[in-house]
Amino acid sequence: MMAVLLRHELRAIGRDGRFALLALALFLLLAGTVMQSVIAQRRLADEQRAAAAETRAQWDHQGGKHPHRGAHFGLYAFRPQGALAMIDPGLQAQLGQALWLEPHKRSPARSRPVADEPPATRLGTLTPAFALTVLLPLLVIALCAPSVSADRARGTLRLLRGAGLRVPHWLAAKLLAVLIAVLLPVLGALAAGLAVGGAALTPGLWWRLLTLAAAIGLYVGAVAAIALAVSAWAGDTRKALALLVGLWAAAVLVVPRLAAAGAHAAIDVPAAGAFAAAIQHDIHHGLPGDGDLASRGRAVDAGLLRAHGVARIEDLPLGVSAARRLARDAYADKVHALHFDALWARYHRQARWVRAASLLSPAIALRSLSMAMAGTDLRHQQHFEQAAETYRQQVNTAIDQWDRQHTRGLRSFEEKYADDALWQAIPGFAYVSPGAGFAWRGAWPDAAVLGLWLLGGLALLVWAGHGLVREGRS
Amino acid sequence: MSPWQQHSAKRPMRGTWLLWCAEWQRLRRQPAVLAVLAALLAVLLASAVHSGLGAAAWRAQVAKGRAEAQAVHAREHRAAVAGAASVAAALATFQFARQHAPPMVLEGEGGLALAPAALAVLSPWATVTVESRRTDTRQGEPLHNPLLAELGLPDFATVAALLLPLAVLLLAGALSQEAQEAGLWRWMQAQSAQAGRWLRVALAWRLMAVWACAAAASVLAHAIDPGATAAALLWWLGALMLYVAVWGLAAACLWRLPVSAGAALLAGLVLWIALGFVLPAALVAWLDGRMPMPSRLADVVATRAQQQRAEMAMDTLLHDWYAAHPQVRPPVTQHTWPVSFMPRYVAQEEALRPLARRFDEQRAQRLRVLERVAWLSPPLALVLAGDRLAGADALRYARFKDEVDVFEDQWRAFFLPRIMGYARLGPDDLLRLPRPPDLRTEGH
Repeated sequence: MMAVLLRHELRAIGRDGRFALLALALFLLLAGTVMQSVIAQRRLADEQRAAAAETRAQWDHQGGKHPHRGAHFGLYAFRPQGALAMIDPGLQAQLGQALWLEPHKRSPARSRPVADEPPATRLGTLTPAFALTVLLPLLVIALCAPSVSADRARGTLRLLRGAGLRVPHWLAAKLLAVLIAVLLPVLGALAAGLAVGGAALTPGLWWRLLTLAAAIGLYVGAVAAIALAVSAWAGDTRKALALLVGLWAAAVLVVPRLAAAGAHAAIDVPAAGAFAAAIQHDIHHGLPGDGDLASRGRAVDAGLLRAHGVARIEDLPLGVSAARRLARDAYADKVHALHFDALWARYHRQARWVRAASLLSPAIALRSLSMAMAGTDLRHQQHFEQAAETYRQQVNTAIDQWDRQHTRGLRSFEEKYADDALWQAIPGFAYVSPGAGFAWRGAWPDAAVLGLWLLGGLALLVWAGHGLVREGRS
Repeated sequence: MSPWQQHSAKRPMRGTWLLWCAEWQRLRRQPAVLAVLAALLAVLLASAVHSGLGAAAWRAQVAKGRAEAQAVHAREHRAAVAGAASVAAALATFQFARQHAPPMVLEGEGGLALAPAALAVLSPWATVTVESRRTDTRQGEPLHNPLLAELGLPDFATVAALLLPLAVLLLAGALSQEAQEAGLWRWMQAQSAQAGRWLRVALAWRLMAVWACAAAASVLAHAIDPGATAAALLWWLGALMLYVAVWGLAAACLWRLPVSAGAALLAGLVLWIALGFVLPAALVAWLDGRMPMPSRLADVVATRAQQQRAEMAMDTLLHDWYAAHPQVRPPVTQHTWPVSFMPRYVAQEEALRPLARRFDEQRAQRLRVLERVAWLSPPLALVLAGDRLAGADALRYARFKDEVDVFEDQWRAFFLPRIMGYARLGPDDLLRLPRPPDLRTEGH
């Protein structure tokens, strides 16, 4: 029975000219956005590779300099993008493109692409993720809104029930047919996009891709179940459509933005100037229980004199400036870690606020999950920035230790005693992106919320089905 | 002839008035229409409060920054004493020159409440220095949660540009088809010689209701912003009126479609998506292909290359500077930081300024082109109008950066001879400090 009903529904969808037109439009839009995204991601990857190679070559061939001045010339870290970034560029536009690694200070990533984008992007950036999250539900709504109400209006439902049709089976067939009709071309378009983009299908990427596909399935399923329930509940197609469009606008346009505004109002993030000033304050005045910069410096000097059994700094058998710098920077690194960890904690608390709002809008849950799978979310950025910070500390420690070992006493910054051999001895930054497990650990609440939405949608559909049964009896 | 037709024929004005009254009565008795308007008003008011507060906070921040700069200036002035040239004096002068320049800020215009976030994203603060502003990558970018920036509530102008058409299309996109499906159209044709006039009146009421919601929210946003001007508000209200009228025209075009009310509504949604999302994205893609922005990553490489060249040439640059300025006589012969760095900073600035300004110029150029074609997408045109009224457009930003460069040249020209001459800043020097254009009229 179910198979017959399913075949019938699929045939009806196939014959619906409006659906064919809308589906074709969405498919073309999706294919277009995927192609555009593939081109953009390739260009970004090429630029990153070139910039990484050239900044490294500049570092390697600085020539004769004071080692600390060479360190201040600095290195750059560029975050490689995963293959799924072409489906969901996520926070790319809002994140700095380059991370400057220099002594003493940990910098946030800089040069946000959004600052160079024209005002048109404020209306919405047309990416595959945008098409999936925002536009795909409209196709589902267009398909589902008349689905039950039209059959009721035409009297088809009464005839079918007279022939012994069970309403739950009928509704289940409609839901399955919508899922098949919508998901097959959408997932096909995404797979084709990845193939054209030349993505190397590693096991990690497969898992991420499957998770994303499953999430899209849950999302479409939830939207379709709700839309069918509304169609069954509403008296006519126009009413169902108006209500569903209103719900859609609230879920994809209003709730995510209000949630973000609420998170911003509830959890404050310090201004850039205040953040930098607080770090400088803690470095100069010391964390609670530690001395200030001067007293810590005196303690370092005293420790060095004691360790080497000499009375004067000038007599120390090592580079004193470098030794002092090592101690100062170790403390600065500790202070920076404290402040940056607190900043990231605030970001994550804000993200949890937004996630809570996904109980009101499945679009938020899908967007969060797709960004996590594409590796373009906050957690992946933090992972990268932490790796870059570890590397920054290693580079500066290595240079200062070389300076400590190769000099004696206090040396002027005007002296140039390091050369290309030192710069080239510093290993490159080899960032390894985290695996699928890392993405899952961050995204499972979003998957759970999508599951809840599907269950809620199904419950609504069952309730609407009971209504139809009662209506048939009366 | 029906009674209505007879009445209209005898007293046309009275008939029109009755039609308007009847439609008004019908409108206010439709719960669905009222629900759409209430939802629209609620979202617009929330956005207006958000944007208005953002604008007010911005103006408060600007005032605070200026007050702090003036306080620093007054403190330094009190502490300043004339003294002999020395290494310590050069260092003190340098520290003042790099830390205490009055901040320059791109202030919002009278319509800032329409797009405060658009202004903030441009990095509208600038503090000039005698060092190399363009190689210090730690400056200039605000701290923000990228997730909230991506998802966050857009500026009021953007919210209005997105939601007003949706409301117009929902309320009026299928008026004709609804009337036909409900049998009302046939009845009106029987009652009136100009049944179409009834539809036009129904449309007009709906457009006025949508505009009234937007106008109320706009007034609220401007009322919250202490720097808002009546002129900006009036321009904006006019733009909104035109915008709503354009979408009303689009809705009237949908009436011509020989489809059901549901299908007409869907067609309206497709039109909204096409004009509000697809076309602006296509214009951006076209712009990227025709006149792409320079690469920020390539800029990093070019900046470092210049930085390295200047560093390698530091000794020569220092020697050349003193040779070109024989009137400056330093008290020492072996120069160290900061004096040894100053000619290098000048050379770096000369080489890096054109590189950095390419971004502002290209952004402004792209905006000029975008403004020429924005009529294709009414939502984009409204967003651009909001930016202009807020003072957050790329053209104004480019002019602001010009002013920053001019002021930096003045600041550098004032301090360079003093630092290179190892001079200490005296009270007279502080009175003659260059001031940025927006502070020249204010007394210290």
